[in-house]
Amino acid sequence: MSLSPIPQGSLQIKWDPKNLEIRTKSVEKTLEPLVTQVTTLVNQNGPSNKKKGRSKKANVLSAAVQKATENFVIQGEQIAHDFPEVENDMLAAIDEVRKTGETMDDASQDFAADPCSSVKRGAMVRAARALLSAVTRLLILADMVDVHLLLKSLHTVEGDLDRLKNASSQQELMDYFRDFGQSMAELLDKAAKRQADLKDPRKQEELAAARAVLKKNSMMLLTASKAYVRHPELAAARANRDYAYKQVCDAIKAISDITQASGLSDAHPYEGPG
Amino acid sequence: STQIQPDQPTAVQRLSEPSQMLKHAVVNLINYQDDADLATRAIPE
Repeated sequence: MSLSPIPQGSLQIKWDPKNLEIRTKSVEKTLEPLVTQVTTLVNQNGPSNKKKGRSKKANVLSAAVQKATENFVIQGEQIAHDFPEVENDMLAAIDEVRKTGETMDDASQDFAADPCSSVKRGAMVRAARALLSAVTRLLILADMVDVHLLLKSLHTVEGDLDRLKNASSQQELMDYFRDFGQSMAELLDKAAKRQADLKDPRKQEELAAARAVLKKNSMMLLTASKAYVRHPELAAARANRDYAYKQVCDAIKAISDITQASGLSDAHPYEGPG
Repeated sequence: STQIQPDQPTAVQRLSEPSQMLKHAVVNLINYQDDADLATRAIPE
């Protein structure tokens, strides 16, 4: 295989979790309302248009924030334990959520005791921001876990592809192709979900193109491999098989690169006015 | 060689609901603040 090997079970992500870049719509959608609310809180100059007179006791609201933070932390810990490869990173991010949550809890209780104090209000806003950043980091880390799972599927496909290439009989070929087909279906499913979730439209298109190449060439690979196994002495049969194999490898590499890429993609040379 | 697990939620999806709950809790605190503003204006001098 021409792909750079990533040992199965380890997590090698090229991007920095401290960089709060949101690459998927899921993470963005989850965070956006919270970002908007905190920004509104910071930027608010005059009275809002929100419906008045529905507040509960301040300590109840403060306790609700604390409880919600605890729930978030518990769910995060479960995910961390499910994926030992990222457990330490996840637990560090969870610890940050817990700490900022405690600060938020203290600040909100102070504010609740004296809601007319702009100083205490400012302190609560700062605490909410810090909590938001910590939540963002944990969500981005969770997104990295999802990417990792996709890459694991991808390496399973690579392994099946290698076996397929080395098949020496029609029976072996069919057995290996069945495995390849299953792992390929799983990869295509995960890649499709990722494609739908990516924010960058160019990366979406590139992923769609790679998936199309995979689908198209998988059956071609089977046909060409059958001919090659039957007639290994024919150079044309080998060339056909190698062509389909290379197409599949290139598509897999493209999926790997796109899912690990960070930042905005550059414009293609053919884009823009001709 | 692989097991397909359809409809298994992603890690982000598993965190989605707790994130939403946290959002609502913060929003409620913000609304309380609005009421506090209202109370400030309503208090007679």
